[in-house]
Amino acid sequence: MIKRLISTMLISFSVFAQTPQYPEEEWPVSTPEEQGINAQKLERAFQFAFDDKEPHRSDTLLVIRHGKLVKELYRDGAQAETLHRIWSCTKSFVGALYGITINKRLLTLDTTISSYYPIVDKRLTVENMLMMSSGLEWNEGYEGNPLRSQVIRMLYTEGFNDMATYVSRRYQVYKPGTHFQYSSGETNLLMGFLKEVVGEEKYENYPWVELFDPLKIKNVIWQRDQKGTYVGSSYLFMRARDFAKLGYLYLHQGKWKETQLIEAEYIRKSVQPNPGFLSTKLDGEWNRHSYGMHWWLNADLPEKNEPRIYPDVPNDAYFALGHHGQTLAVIPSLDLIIVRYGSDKKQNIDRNKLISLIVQSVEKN
Amino acid sequence: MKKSLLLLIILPFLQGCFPKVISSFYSREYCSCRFIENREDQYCHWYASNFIPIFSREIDVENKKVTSSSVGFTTSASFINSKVGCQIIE
Repeated sequence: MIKRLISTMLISFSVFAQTPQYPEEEWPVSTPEEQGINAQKLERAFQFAFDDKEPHRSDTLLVIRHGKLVKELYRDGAQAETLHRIWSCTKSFVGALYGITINKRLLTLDTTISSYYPIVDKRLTVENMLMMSSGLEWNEGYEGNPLRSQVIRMLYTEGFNDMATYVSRRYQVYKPGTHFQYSSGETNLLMGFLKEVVGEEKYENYPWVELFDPLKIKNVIWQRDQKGTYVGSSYLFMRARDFAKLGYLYLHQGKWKETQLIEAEYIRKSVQPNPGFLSTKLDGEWNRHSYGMHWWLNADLPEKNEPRIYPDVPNDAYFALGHHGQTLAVIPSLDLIIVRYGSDKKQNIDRNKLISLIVQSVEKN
Repeated sequence: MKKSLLLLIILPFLQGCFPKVISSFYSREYCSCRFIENREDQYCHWYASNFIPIFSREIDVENKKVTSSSVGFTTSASFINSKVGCQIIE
C-alpha cells in the first residue's frame, strides 16, 4: 500500500513538473518525434489495430502525449467528427459527474441512496455503487448470455422505461461494500439518484454545464430512458478527440486550466483498487481486472496474489472500457492518452498488445 | 433451413423469457448507428444484427425512425434530437 502511494505521488509529480497545456475545442497537434515517440514503432501499433487479418475491427485510434495529438486514424465510415458510441466507457463520465457533484458539496461518498430510493438497503452509499460493490443481485452479460442477462432486460425490455427503479428492485445479496460485482445497473441507479440530488430541472443540462462545457466538448449525445434519466451505463456518443479530454482531466488530478472540477483526493481514490474488489475472489482473469471508482485499473495485486491484468503496460495505467473493444487508456507515468474505438463483434482486441505497442514507441520524456 | 427449424423449436421459450429484446436491440442500435454515427445501411445492419435474425425492418430515413420485427414482436426506435439521440418509442 505504501509502495503504491509513493508511486502515485512520484507519477503525480512527474506530470505536474511540466505546465500542462490544455486543449480548447481541438487538441494542439504535434509530430510523434517532437513528443518523444518513435514514429515507426508507433506505426506498428496502428498496423496491428487496423489489420484485417486480426479478429478485431478497429475504426478509430488516437494517441495524445504531453497534451498534443500525435497521431489518429479512422476507418469503416468513422471520421474525426463521428459521434461514436462508447458503451460502458460512459461509466467513467458518471464517475466524473459524481466527483464534480461532491466537489460542489451537494453530496458525499457516504450519502445513502435510500433517501430517494427507500426500497434499497439503508446502508447502501454512493461510494458502494461507484465501487460496484452495492451487493445487489446482478447478471451482467450481453450476447454471450442473453437469456439470463439483466443488463439486456434493463436496456431493452423490462427496465428501459425507468432503469434506476428497475435496478433498485434487485435483491440485496451481499452487505453493501463487501462484494464486487460489475454492474451496469449500479451506474444507472447512480444516474437516477443524481437527478434527485440536483433536481429534475438542473439535471437536464447538468452533464453539459458541469462537465462537457468546461472541457469544450461541443457535440455529444447522451441517450436517456423514458423517464429522462441518462443511461450512464452505456449510451454516450462522442468524438474520440473529446473522449480523450476526460483522460486529460483525470491525468491532471481533476484540474482543468485554473479550475479544480474534481478534488484530487477523489481522483486518487478513483484509480486505486477498491476494498470490495480486493476482498472478492472472481473467476479467471476477472480476479486481476482491478477496479477503482468507475475506472478499470492495471494495478499489481499483492493483496490477491495476482499480477496486473495487462502485464506489458505500466501498472499506473487506468482505463475506461466498453463493449466491442471501446477503450480510453491513461498512463500517467508516460503522460500518454490513447483512445481506441471499434466494433469487435467477433473477438475483442488484445488490449495488452495494442497498448504495449504504443508504450514501446515512447522513447523519450 | 436448419436456422428456421432451430428458431421454430426455441420460439416459445424465447417468447416466454426473452420478450422483445431482438427487435428492441436492432431498432435502437440501428437507429444510433445510422442517425447518430451517420454510417451506411450495410454497416448498421451488420452492427445491429445478432444470432437471431430480424424478420422484417422498415427504415424511415426522412423521419429517422426504425421499425423491426423478430420472433413475433415489433419495436420502433426514433431519433429524438441532437442531445438525446435515439429512444425506443413503442
